[in-house]
Amino acid sequence: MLFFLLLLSAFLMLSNNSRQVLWIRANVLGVLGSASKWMGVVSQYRALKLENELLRERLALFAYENSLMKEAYLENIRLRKLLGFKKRSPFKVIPARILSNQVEGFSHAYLLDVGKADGVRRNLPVLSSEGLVGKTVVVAGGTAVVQALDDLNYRVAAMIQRSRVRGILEPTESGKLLLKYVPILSDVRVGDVVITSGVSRIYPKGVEIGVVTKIESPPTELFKRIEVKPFVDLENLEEVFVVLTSGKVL
Amino acid sequence: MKPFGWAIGFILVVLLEVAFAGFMTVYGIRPDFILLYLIPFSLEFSRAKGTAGGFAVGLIQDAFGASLFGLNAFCKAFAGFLVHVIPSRFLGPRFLHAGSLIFFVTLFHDFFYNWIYSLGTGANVIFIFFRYALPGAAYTAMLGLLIKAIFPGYLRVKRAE
Repeated sequence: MLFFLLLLSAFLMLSNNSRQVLWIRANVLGVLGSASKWMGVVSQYRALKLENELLRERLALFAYENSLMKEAYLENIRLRKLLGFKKRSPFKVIPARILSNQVEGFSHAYLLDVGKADGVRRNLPVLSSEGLVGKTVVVAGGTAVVQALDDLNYRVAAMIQRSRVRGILEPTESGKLLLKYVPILSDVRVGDVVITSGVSRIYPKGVEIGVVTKIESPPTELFKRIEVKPFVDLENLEEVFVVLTSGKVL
Repeated sequence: MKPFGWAIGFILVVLLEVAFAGFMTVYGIRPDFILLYLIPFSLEFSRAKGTAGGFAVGLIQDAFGASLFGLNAFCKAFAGFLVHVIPSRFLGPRFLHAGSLIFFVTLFHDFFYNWIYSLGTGANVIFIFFRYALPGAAYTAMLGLLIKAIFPGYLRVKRAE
């Protein structure tokens, strides 16, 4: 019995991206996700009440900031025209509430209250107002699972915003984010902002990820060791946005 | 309790884990409610049923996570099996049996889970053991003992085989 079930589990793990396994996963999530939504609402009631008060205070501040941003946006359009830049479409995003934050050792996922019914598909980028959060990995009718940026098996093509140096952002076992495969002679400084490079079918170019906090250049290595601190507080997220139009949008 | 009652319990405990375990996470370590339910289930029934129960509940849990589909099923099937094979002499004095059993089963479960999930990433097994498996096992065992203190009928370590 044990041998058979372990073999079956191993088979499932090896065929994780097959349509059949994704179908099973989405349906199990679909059935139990709705129940989880209700349990999540109960546990979040108090938090929502406090959050509501906080949001009211912040609304006044954001209204002011919004007017400044509108000005910046109009200025941006003018400058783009001047430079002959092709006008690019903005993201189409939908807001989502995090029902649960699931940290299980190296694995980190969020359960969202949006799903197929809201237009969410697999492999869509998930952002917060601070930056990149992760990507959708399983989507059911009204819920979706998001793999977080600090999940050990998460990878994203990234670059330094200032110098356009590219690399791959990977979490380490200790939970830090490393920008890997950046040549040793590249121009990278502490404080540089790291953004998505757009070399991906999933992430649009230019989404902010984090800031460089430490750089090591061992003389015997080919690549730098660059530590990145994410802008998003991944442990205390409550709301996110799912980007429905993926690809090179920015 | 009848098998149907246990099955409903499994679904409820997965939902409980998904909805509330996040609030009890300390430095990335969370208690495993599902194991706290699976261990008495496995003790109540047989080794084979414990293994099958672990597989089924693990599969449901996998649907909610971003990890490999089948990984929790693998580890929980192993955990359900392990309940019956850990020799009693490893469990220490009789009054500690329940806590020790939860501790060892969770230790194996968390170690294998994180080790398999990190394959190919270069993660250090000693790091996995001390950073995740050991604290996770201690946390879950303490919670199990707390449940036992409140409900003395919980987890009577009396192997079915």
